[in-house]
Amino acid sequence: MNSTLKKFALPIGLTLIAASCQDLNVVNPNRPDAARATAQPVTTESFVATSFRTWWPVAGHDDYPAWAFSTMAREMTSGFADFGQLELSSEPRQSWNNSPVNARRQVNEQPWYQLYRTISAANDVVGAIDRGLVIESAARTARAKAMGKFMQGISYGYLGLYFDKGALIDETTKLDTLTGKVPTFVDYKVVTTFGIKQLDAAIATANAQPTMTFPVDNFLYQSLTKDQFVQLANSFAARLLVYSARSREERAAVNWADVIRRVDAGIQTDFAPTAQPDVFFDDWKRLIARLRTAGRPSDFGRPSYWLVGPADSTDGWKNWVATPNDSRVAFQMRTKDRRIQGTTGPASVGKYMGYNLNNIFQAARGTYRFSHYFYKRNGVDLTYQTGPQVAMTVTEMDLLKAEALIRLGRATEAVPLINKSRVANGELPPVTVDGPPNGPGCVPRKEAGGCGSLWDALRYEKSIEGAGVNGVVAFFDARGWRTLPEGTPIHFPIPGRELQTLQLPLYTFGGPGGQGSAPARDPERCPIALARCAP
Amino acid sequence: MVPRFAAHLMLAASLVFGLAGTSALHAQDTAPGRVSGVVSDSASGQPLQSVQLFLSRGTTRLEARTNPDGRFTFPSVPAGSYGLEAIRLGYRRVVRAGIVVAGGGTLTYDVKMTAAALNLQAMVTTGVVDPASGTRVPFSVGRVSAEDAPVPASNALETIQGKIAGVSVIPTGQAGSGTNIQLRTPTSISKGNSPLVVVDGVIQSASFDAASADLQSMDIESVEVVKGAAAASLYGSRAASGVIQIRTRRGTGLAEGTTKFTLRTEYGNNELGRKVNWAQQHSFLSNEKGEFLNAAGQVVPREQRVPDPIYARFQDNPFKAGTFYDQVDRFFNPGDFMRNSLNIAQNGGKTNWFFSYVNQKEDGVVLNSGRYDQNDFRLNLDHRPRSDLSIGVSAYHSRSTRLNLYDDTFFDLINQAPDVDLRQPDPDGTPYIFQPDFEGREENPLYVLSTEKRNRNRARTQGAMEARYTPRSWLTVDGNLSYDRSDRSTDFFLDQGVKTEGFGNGGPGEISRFNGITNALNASLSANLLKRVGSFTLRSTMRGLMERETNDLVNASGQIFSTPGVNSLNNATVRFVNSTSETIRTNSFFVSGAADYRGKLIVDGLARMDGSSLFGPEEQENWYYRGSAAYRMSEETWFPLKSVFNEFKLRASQGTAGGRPDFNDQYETFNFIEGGGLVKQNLGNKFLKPEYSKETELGIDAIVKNRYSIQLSYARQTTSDQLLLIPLAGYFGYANQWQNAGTVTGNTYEATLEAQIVRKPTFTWRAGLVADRSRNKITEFNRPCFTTATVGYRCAGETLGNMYGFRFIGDASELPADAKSRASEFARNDEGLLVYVGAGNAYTDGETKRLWGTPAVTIGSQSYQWGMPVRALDSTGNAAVTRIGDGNPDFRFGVSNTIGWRGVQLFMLWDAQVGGDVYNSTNQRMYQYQRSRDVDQAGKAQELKKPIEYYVSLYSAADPTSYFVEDGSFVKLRELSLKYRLPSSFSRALARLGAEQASVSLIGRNLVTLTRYKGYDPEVGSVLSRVDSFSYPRYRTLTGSFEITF
Repeated sequence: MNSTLKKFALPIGLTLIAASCQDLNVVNPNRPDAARATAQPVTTESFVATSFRTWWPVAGHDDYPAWAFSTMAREMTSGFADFGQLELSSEPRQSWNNSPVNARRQVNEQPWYQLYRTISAANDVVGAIDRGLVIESAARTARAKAMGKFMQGISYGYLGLYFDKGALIDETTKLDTLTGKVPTFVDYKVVTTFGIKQLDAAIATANAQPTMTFPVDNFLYQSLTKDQFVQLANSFAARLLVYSARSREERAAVNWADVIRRVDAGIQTDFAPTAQPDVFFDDWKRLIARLRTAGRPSDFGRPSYWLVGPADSTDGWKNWVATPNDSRVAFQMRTKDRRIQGTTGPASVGKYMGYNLNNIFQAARGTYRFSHYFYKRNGVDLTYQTGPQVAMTVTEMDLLKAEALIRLGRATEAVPLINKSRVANGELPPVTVDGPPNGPGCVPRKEAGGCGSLWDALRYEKSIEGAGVNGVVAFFDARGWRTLPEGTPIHFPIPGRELQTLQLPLYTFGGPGGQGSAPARDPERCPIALARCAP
Repeated sequence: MVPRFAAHLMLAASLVFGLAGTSALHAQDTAPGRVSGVVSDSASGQPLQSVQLFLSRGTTRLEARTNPDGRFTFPSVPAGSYGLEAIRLGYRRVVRAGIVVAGGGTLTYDVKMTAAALNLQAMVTTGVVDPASGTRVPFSVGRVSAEDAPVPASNALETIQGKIAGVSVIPTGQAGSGTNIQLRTPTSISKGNSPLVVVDGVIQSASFDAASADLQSMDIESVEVVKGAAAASLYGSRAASGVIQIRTRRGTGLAEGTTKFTLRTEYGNNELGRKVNWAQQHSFLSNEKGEFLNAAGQVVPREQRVPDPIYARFQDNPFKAGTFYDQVDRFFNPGDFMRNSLNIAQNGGKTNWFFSYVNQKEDGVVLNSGRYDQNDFRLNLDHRPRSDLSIGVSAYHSRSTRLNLYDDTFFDLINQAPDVDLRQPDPDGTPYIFQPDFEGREENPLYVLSTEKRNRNRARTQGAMEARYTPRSWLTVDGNLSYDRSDRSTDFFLDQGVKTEGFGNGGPGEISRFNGITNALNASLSANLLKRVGSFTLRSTMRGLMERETNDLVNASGQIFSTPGVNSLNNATVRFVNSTSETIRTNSFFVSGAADYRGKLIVDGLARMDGSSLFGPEEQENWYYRGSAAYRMSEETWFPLKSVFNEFKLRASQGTAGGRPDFNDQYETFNFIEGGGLVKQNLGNKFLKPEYSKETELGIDAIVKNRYSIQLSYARQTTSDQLLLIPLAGYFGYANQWQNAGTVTGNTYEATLEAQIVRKPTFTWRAGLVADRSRNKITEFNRPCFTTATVGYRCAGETLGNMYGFRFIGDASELPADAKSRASEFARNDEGLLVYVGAGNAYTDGETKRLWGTPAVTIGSQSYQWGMPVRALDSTGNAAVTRIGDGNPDFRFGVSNTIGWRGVQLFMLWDAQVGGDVYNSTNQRMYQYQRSRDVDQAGKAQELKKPIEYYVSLYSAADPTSYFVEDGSFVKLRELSLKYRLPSSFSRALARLGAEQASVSLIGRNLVTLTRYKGYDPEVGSVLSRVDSFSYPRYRTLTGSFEITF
């Protein structure tokens, strides 16, 4: 019987004794710990190679904050609430609900945290390199640093575009000293300038390594030479210079000469990173063209009449604008712009958009959101998951330059820049400094019905060409052109969650008479004297 | 390191004790005598089988069992004076002393036993190192025996619902999902509040999803529940939320030498218990035939319909006859329920065993989807080779398959318009149309469910080996080794060409495979010392324990198929894989001591050290303790009410227990992201300590006239060092970090009453009442307050279970100052909400004066739309976030009745919750597109009708708002069983087949719910977050069963 006992007691006892000798320190085998990761040069490089992917979604290529910005700018319209668009684009405009309880709080949480996460990764890499880290070679190390500075630049740049203020944390900041304290928040202008400074540092670092190249399958998801990288940095700087303006006055005060310099030194072909399924893709392009059922396109959002209406040669658009908001109903246009309408009549499909009679939104959410036009420029289904995803076009840069030229009194030089896409894509007659040729089918028209000015043509061209490229630029233009509906927030506050964390009081923007609210619209006033300009 | 060294020493000592003790085994006396007799029920006089009897003297301990005639025999008893102990499940223990056995003689000694139908008198094994009668335990232990559970619960853990005070169970809807249980008050803000579960000595791993799902059906003999640290310290750092111990049958209840076969089959159906009412009208222009019109009054197809004019856009127009559907009826469909089992039990004297096979199939209530199928095998075996040695082996294997529903199933359902037919075929040949509505909100869930393959397979294998050796009357050594393995896999296949979201012409194909394996090994070895010194009985235990657990997950997915129809990852042109592997190690030991003074004063104390790998190196070892005392006043000679109280005990206990972090919480790591690369996610913390729970419990236990028992308890629990995922400021790059911060305090009052109302041979009536009231509060929170998903808010002074959100105001005094000065332009409408009406108007003027939809009026910084509700603002002009509800009920109670009359037994369990809010997010989302019946206006007085815009305004873009907080009070007939034992005429016929007995039963689960709650069932969400958000609805099950015993 002793043996029976031993059979049970011994294994249990020995197991216990063996076990109790075992070390209780368990290494996490699943993820690299911070110490291991930053000790490896190539791993460290991967932080910066990954950083573009964390920046991309919140730069207008995913749901947040693109839907909010695009619908606030009246570029796209949507009857859905998923990504904050319903609340923010309701008319009359309300203040942004900055509470951390707001179901749509990700509208400003996502860009805030995602941009700072990107900055944090870039800071780690730039800091490590500054402390002497070498990633295989001097050229590769310089590339990582240039990329780090570039990511700091566009991340701070977009923080400056979206938020009223931000904290400047870079590779020189000792985070330990900030724990439990509130960092210094600086004005968006300082944040934007800081971003441009980082872009210039990226340019300088790249220029010091002429042989530098960027691989196709990460970093920027497009193979770039050193020169192309420098061009891209300059184009982003041009964006930041112009788009950071919060008002007509600030837009007028932009250093337009510098904009021209940056555009001239900027991209020569569209910047179009290549999508990889479920790794890197442009969900904005999917959502604006979303197709649930064959023949029922664009069922989530549609181009707004505010976007396509100026191309209407009937009185539909004029009447629609003149109708009280809640009584507006969708209508069919006629236009010569081949981006909106095909050659075989008003129901035929154009290059970028097409006509569809069905009302796809709920009347209860405002019939002013209804649109009979759907978006198709980028295709549907898998096209957002594979192939090049255009994120910044030469046309955008041309039109930024055109705006600069008009503002600097060189309107005649702006004309050919405006006509490039207008004629090639829209198949519209070219504009002159006096605007489009006068006539019943002129594009664009003014809200009251007459033919538009060169300024109107520039705005129309930039809007129609920019739609669908990303979801945020239309808003930046609208606040600088004074085309936002009154009461729209001109930027976002620091998210409520962050304010809660830092124990700062909640604040917000927008709404009638609120701080940071767009003034009443005044869209057709030109920055300089031009024909057909109001007043 | 000292504690670990001490553990080694103790373990070694235990082992040596255990082995050394064997030398005493052969001590025996000479000239044996014989003792025999009959054990019978004191009330009925009926003989009792399966009574365990022990004769003890010094180191001698002899065992015998009664046969079906109640007769027992000790054939060879050395002469001397003995103590006799008789034990039987359901009866009070009998102890007799001074039984003198003469050498070579025969002694006849009959025993009468009194039914211990009162659970309070039953033996307790949980939370104590040595089984003891409930009347002698110095803390409260809840108990449910098989007799209290004639309706097999869907999940074994749910057996205790409504039967034990202080237990909250929120069952999940779809079969095989596991269940949510909380004992007393929550101990943790962020981590789980589920108790530790032990089944037949196997500590159940909880490291994976729905870990309790595999306990779907069981052959339960008893369930014991210790609810908090005051009792659960024995289980250390896993026991802050209490312990549930389940014992399954082992064949011990049978007469010696008998074998029993039991076949049981149960068949019935699942159906929705309550319906959610859907809108049945629309708000579009239409003629008297119900045809849609355009603005010009022409009949148009549905796609071109236009809404009613904005001043009268009421949802009060009937659909054209035959064109609308009740989508609840179209989507839900009663399904089959079937449970078959075979049990074989044998008691061979020294060996008893029990085998069971259970097969359960449950269709649920969704049309053609969601079937659950489980097969369980169990084998329990006990062997007593000697009177001082017992060995038990328990083995369990369970396999289940389930057709999972996709996450958005119920959300997609509520977005379907009433005038589309979900059951019409799709042009692609699928029996249900993909997108029946041109408005294209969401796909038809019936299409998705019929085209996606989404299978879940699980297996659970458990084994435990327990040995108990008593070499001396004062020493018992026992060891336990238990193993728990879970295998989980899911496979998902969406074929190329099948329509899916974003792919109205057919998608590119998608596939995934998941495999998870968890292995848990627990072992313990202990030495238990028992010594009588004068009037004292002293007990002491030393135990060493270890826990080893690994959790390995592999996930592979792919998309964009090369060719349709091939359900293989190889078919995907784009593939992703990921894996995780986790290891948990714990080494613990404890020492306990207890003293019992003449059975009336009982004190008990223990200390336990846990060393766990879940903490950083500095914080791995943690101590817990318990001290408790009971005073059985009724044992005192001076006790004045002895004629009334058979038992009157005061008890007090204080103990500590812990809560652990999860595997990843301590590590400062980066996350990989899809396609390679690293990103920062959560910042680890190697200085994490356990959540430290301290509970004090005071109580009174009483038994009145051997018929009624009362247990009253008050427990106060404080859990400090809460593990909180603290949001970090954005510039850290990490989103959150786990930190120890904050304290939660809770208290619970509990009452348990049992009554043997009638106890006659042909008529019995037992009743039970449990009631409890729990309160909790975050008493300390030295971090910035933060909101949790949906409605929760964590801050000092707040309860767990609170609901925070926006509030619509009802009175003009709450308007901002500038609007308040124009208060006459606002009015309270018939729903009690303040609305803007403008000067000189009433809220009923909307249609007659065409005020609905008129342009908004701006007053100060706010716009006001005519007739629309107004949100409360805070002092800064932002929408105010305030407490809008609390999910904690005021109190709960359960009443059970078991009535037996001849061959008929009726069991009913009613339970109720009074107070406690539910946030009805499902109904809120139904306001979004006017699907809720609340939006229908037909039947209302014309001036009280509200346009659809009013309901969209209340919907508030899904923000949490006070409007959707509902009272979750309910009264529920949770279980009903009507059992009829077939009369002897049938039995005789059956006897020819070898059958002993047969019965038929009618069984109902979740039969009737009385509530004002608008959703399917107020028992929804989780215990701490009572949010109703598109979960699988609780349904009722009505079945008939037939049971035959051979």
